Amino acid sequence: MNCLNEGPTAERIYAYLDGEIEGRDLRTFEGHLASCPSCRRAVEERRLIAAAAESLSPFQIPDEFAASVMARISPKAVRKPLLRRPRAWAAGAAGLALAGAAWVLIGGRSFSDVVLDASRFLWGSIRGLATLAAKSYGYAALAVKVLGKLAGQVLEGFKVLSSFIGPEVQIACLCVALVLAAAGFTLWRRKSGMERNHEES
Amino acid sequence: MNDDQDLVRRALRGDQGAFEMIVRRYQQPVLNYVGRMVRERELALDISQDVFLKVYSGLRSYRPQYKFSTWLFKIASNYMIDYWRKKKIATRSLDRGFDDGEEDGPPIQVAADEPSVGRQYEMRELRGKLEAAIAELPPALRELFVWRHVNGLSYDEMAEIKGIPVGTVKNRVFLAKEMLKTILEGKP
Repeated sequence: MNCLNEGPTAERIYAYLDGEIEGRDLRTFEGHLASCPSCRRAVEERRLIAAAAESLSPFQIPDEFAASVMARISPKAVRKPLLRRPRAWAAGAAGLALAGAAWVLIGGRSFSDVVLDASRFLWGSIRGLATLAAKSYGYAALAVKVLGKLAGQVLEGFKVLSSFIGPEVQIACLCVALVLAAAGFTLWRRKSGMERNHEES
Repeated sequence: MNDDQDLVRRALRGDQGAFEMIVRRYQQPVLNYVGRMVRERELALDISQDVFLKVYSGLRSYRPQYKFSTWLFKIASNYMIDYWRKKKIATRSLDRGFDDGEEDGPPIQVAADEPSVGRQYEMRELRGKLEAAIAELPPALRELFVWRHVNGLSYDEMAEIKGIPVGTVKNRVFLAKEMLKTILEGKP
């Protein structure tokens, strides 16, 4: 085989050294090496360079290297998510205050006007919240009334049903319902526990 | 290593001893890499310290589904890119700029009369010459060669760290080795 034209390329030699040539290709390749001194030498040289690289002296590390890294580490250095950083909140609040001050300055309004507007806004908000609370109470009372009636109807339905079903069947139904509820609760606990672990990791 | 993730979890809970174990475990691979990238002992030590500080401050962003060593080398590699950018060394050559040619690399024919590196040097001498030859490689090729042959990373890991296809990584490592061979053959 004429190696300059048909022999293994350097790329193929590296594939051979990386163990990426298999089966019949490997037998053909090794067969060629056995009969071709120049290709054998090409493989050996590349193998030698790789072996030399893999046995290069490790970089000398001073004994105190890890300790000096740790000395530069502050336990607070691990970045927390934005919402759990008090400084981020403080910076946000300061930014809002600055924006407010800039708005007052640019608008050319007096301080007393701003205080008056702010107190009006506050009073308006309190009134709005009080109205909302009163309305919510009304809706909640209505909802309780409707739910009460609904529960009464359901109970009535149960009474009618129980008149057709014997006490043994009633107990069995109750047990099945309890088992299903317990299984559902356990599954929910397990799922939420897994999610918590995943978040922690 | 699975217990890398356990150490990370403990470090996140504030256990500094756990992070010190991470440093001790990876100081040698990181210094082997950084040391061969900058070729100055004190500078390599400083950069490696900074890399570990960056690792510590970024621990919350580590995702356990990835190998910790891969994530750590990614931080080290990005640090080196920033370092060279600041030093105003052409960063084009750090990530791109190689004519990768075909996905599996251009074929190079073996010449029958090429000089024998093996015959020129004894192994001990070869190591010394190789260290000097590695320093002559362009940074992006040097990085991949060191990861592959000094740190023992797989092609897949290197591809993940650099965010490039495995074929491109293989081609560049192959290019680095051929360049080293040429440099060694030319060395008196």
